[in-house]
Amino acid sequence: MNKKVDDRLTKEFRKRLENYELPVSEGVWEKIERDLPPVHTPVMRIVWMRRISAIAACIVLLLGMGWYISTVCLETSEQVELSEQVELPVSKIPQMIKPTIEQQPKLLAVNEIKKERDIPTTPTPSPAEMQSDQGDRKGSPLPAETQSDPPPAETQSDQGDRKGSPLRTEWADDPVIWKKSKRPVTLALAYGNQRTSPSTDLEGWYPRTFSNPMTLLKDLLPDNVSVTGVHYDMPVAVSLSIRKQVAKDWALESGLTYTYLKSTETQSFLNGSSTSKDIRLHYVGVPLKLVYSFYDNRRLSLYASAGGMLEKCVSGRESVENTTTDLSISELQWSLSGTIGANYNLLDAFGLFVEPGINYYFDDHNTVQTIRKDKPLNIGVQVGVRLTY
Amino acid sequence: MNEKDLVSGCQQGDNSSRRHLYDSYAQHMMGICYRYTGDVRTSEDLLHDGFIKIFEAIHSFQYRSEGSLKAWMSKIFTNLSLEYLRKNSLRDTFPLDEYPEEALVDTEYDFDRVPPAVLMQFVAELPAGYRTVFNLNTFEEMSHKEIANRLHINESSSRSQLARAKATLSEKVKNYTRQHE
Repeated sequence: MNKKVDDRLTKEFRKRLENYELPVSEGVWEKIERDLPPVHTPVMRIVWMRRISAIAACIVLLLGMGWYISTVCLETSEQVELSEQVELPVSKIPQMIKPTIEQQPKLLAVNEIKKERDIPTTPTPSPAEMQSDQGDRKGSPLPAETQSDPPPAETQSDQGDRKGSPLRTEWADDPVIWKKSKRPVTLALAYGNQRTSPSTDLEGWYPRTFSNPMTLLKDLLPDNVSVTGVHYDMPVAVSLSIRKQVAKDWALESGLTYTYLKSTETQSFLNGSSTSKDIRLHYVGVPLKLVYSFYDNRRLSLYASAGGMLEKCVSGRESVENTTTDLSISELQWSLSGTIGANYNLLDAFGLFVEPGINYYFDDHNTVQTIRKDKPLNIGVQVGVRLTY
Repeated sequence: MNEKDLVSGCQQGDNSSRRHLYDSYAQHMMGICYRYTGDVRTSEDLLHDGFIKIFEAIHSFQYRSEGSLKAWMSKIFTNLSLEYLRKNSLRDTFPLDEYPEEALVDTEYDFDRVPPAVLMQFVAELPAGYRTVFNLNTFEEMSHKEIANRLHINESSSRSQLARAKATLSEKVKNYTRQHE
């Protein structure tokens, strides 16, 4: 009985109050509306697609950049490493060339080539003698010559100039021999870092020093012939920039950028000795970029930018065997860049950003060799913090 | 505008759809909050928090059939109300003393003579513990085991709270009908 009565009370209350409605004060909705998250437009799905596409593009670019960096670093390291493995029968090298080595403290291969040209010719056909035979190159500025003569063209011209040289002819006529060689030195020299710019890579300058290394090895090269490898540290840049919006979704960005470049050139002589030279350069630059923002909300913004930068080398030093000398680079460095960026606001006025991008550096016509000359097209990434006012 | 269109508009962030949703369901949700809390001002605060929560979470809501939106929103407001009670008035409202689980309730009176607003007022006047268990059992149709788990109390405590709630409500209804004969 009780149970039945009890059920009645429950049912009656449920029936009468289940859909009971109570009036609400007027100001409640206004308060809700004020505290609501920002209203999104109906095109939100499109925006999301854009956002996803942009993130995917960033990931692809970062992966590509990682592959590029790892490949370049590997190749550069291999050059240096393998060049140090050169082993030759030093005792068989003609002694008459040895004094020349002592008179050539310069490390860069191109510098050595220039010096070798000044060596008086001897009856023995040596690489130095072959260099002196290059009449059409005498007196020309060395860096310009180095960069304006890509290896294939140079090989061709050498063929014309040196018909009497069996070494050059053999190299030019049968390059397959070079590739098929099992000797480490030949493998090392063939593995040049020429994906971006061959100007000072091993394959770029090596034929100018002597023709066919295979033949040279067989014919007992003089020990002033050396192998030079250049290792470039990753450039480091710190920048302070200011961005000003000039139109809807468009902004201009400028500021100051400091860049540190370091390279190490290692020259290994065929007699087993080696020397190295460090070059440290400090640049200060002023960039100017046009920025287009293609997604922007309270937390995340995605943008692309393009522009240029003018840089001046404010300090440069060259260190050889505990001896440091100042380098003077008066030429200005111009470059172009394109980036995509993502900014995430941790607070309203404080965010983190990442900007992968691509840069192209124009030749500044200075003799100091930098990674920018060697690889004018670079991929880089910047990360940082951004304050918004 | 039907429920499906309302959901779609709110998911796209359309402000008029949001307002429409509020206008359609605010009074019903207010009734739920008041039935649990027994206080108008507290109910309006919960109404504000609940709609903010709904508009933020509506992207995850999947429309199934007519009525599913209302059911989903009712659940959100019920949970909000229970959370409020847990943090505030419900903590010390479950006495350890036992009460007959099946109290004798006199219901020989006509419910039709009692307006719903009066019935609602009777529920609101119940002590928080009684009111909470009564609401969960009557409107959410939860068993004592489920109520005990939800409120972290003993099943016997749930039974005795419900019995006291019903005895109190029965007495109030009987007095009301007697006074309005």
